[in-house]
Amino acid sequence: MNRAVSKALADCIAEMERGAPVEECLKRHPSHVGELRPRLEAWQAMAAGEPVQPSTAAFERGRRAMLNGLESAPVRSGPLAAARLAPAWATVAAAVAAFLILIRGFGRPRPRGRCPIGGRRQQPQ
Amino acid sequence: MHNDPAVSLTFTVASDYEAELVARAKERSSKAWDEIYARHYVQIYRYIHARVFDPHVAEDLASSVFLGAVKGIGAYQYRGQPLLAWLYRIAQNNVSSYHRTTLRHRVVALSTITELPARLFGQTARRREPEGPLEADPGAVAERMDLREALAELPQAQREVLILKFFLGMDAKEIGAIVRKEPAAVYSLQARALNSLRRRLR
Repeated sequence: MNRAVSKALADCIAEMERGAPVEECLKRHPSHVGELRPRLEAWQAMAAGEPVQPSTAAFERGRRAMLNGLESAPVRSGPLAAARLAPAWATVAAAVAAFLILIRGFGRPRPRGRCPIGGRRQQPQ
Repeated sequence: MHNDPAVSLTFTVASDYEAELVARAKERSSKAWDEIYARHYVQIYRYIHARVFDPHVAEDLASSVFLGAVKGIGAYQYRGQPLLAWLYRIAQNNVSSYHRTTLRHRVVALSTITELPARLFGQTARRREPEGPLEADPGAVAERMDLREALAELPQAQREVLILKFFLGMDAKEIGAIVRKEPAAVYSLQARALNSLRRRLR
């Protein structure tokens, strides 16, 4: 199937979804009728099929299993869950406090003679 | 994607409602889960049925999708995509896992084949009662198996857009929201899928 036919087929599928009959689509693409017709008729046949239906018993069984799962599923806990449950103002206050501690920590003068990294004593000049 | 203001508004309202439903589901509200189940069970069942062609397996796998959703809702973030898209991805994973474990060797008992859409290409579908004897007409069984093989052998993206269209009855816009494609790309994929299917069944 060449690109032109492929494009025509996609256009026809779009038109048929909007309710256009096969013949109307074919009229718009007279040079590809031979290739389009069997495909569009197949498309129409597929669309006419009855959808499968699950049984009511299966629906109910699945529902009960889900609700049982809901009761037995572990409740999420831990620091991340606590953060999710905390009100927004508490999260913001915690973030500001952490920021201040960080700033003050870095701003504090270091003991003399100590290397800022690794804490080794510097050689006297 | 939605240029029509009325359509945009509909999507916004639906999206707001789903966001709220997800929030309640995260709080483990059984009412919210009941609603999610009632809204989406049939679609998930149909999708799985179209992939496994066995009603009993489809029932079990559909049930497992909602159990998986209950377990995974804590990690799920609603970002405006339909909730069905998330459930559909769980279903995809469960079906793939099922195929890996049970269909790896392509041992397909005829008794498990129930209702392949033999209506394809103008043929009339023949129903078999689920508990009844094997299909009397071997030609019909072979035809159904051919179709099953053909669907299974389609590239994943093509197979998915056909299943969503014909087994779930979705239009291109709805399919696009699920598979994250524009409607024009969905039509194009469907055209390629239809062509591949014809070629394989010839």
